[in-house]
Amino acid sequence: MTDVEQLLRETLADPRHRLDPGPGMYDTVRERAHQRRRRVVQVSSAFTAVVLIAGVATTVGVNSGHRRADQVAAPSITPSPQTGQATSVDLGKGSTSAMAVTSSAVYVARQQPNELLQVSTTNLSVTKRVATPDAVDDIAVDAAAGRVWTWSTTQATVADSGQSTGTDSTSIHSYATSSFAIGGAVKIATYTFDAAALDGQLWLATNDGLYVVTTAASGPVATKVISGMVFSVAADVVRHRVLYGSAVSAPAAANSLGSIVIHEIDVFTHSVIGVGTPLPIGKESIAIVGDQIWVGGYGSGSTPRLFHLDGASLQVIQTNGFGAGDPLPFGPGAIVWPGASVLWVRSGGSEGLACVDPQSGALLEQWPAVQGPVASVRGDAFAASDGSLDQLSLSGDCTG
Amino acid sequence: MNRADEDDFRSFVAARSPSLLWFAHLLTGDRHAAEDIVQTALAKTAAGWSRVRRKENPEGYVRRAIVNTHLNAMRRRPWREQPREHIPEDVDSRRREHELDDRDAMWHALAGLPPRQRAVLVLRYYEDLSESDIADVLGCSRGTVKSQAAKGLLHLRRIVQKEDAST
Repeated sequence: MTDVEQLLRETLADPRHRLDPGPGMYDTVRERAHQRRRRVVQVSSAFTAVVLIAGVATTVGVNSGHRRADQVAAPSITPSPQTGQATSVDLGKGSTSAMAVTSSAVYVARQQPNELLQVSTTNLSVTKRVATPDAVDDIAVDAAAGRVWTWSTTQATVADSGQSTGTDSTSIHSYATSSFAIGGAVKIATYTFDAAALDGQLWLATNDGLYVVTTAASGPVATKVISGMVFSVAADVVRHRVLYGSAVSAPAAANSLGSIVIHEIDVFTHSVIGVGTPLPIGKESIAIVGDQIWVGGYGSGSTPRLFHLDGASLQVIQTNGFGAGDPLPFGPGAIVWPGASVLWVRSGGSEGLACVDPQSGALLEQWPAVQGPVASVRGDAFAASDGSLDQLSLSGDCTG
Repeated sequence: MNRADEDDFRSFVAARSPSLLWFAHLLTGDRHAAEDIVQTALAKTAAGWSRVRRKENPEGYVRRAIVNTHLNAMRRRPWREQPREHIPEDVDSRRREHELDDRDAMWHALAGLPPRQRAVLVLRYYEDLSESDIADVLGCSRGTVKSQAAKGLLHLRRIVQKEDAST
């Protein structure tokens, strides 16, 4: 055993790292276990209630009438959401770090070795493969522009020692979907949280602001559009705009995450053309499915975790807390991804993945053990789950 | 959970919480995160305790739940933690003359590892699990375990050697 291994053993066994449980440890665990069970019971109860109400409404022809404009509705619950299966796709050596999907292919970033793969959605065979210069963090595919964008954030290192300088740097590469030829690369000195591709541009949400990468004759060029921390960005192909979130208030208490506002940017002029109202969440993610906009985030207490926004006004039209008082079994936060015709929601507490109707908010299908991120087109859905690429079985109303 | 199961679960939590918290602390490097993932893993386990308690190694089952809870929580956006690859200068200088310098430096070097690499090293050098067992816990291949361990050790060795050179 080398000295480093011995020192590692001694360090891990160092009693200074021991933690003593608080006096209420068992009670806390029991309460959290009860909360989990209550959520399951609530789903069953909601199912029964909805079936009864639907039956009565059908029988007597009830017309519920129009909802008041200022009324925020709770989401409807679909009876008997199916529990789906996931099958790992064998891609050989390495682990999957990210993927994106089009109607004909899944683009998969792999590490160890660092590669970008194109996988056929027809037979799940690898149809293209190229070595990537970095370990890719994430992918965005712009099918209309025929481009796959990859990005990777690292910390700069001192050449001799390999020790970090503490400076973040994101490397962005673009590849042609037809040939996998690299179309260029650009670096920005930021940590990238999220990105979205639209109309030949890549928009990046970073710790230093919102950047857009455009392609000039000399190659990709990055420009800062908005300053300040930006956690999320999403592309709206219907309205040719991007939406991003920014914090508007600091956390009021230790267990609070403050609030955020969704902004709307015109992709041609790069100017802000719309602003929503504050949402009481932090660390948000945005999903746009057709003309439906959903924002998920982390909250505290019983405040909502998931918001359905009006596409034109960005005002809230529906909320869901995903907390103890809500019928869907989700925890402290919600993370959202867009599908072609469905909304994907994962619990921030890693307690499962859900396929949701983007118009009504109804739960369509769920996968208790699948982690995100998720991407889908109509008929095909995939998750980069725990280092592998999983294909999700779609059934019932969850169409991908 | 019936009364017998509840009593058994209560005894398990009381007896094993310190050990589980220690283990979680090694995985996370943060006491609050450690408490949270231990509570989460135990809460998940509670529902099936009548089944878990009959397993040959219930604690191993809970530890596996702790590892998976931790890695899931660390996975990608929007909560992805940025691994630190540098040793905080103030900590180094403050403790350099102390007899526990090396262990402190190692502890802080561990903070620079990606969560999965760190988990591999904790399972290998604290839990003394074999490569096969670690692969089983993490749901990956033995080859991945070997490469992750090698990379993690290489990183730690670089940091320790740099520390030695600077003192």
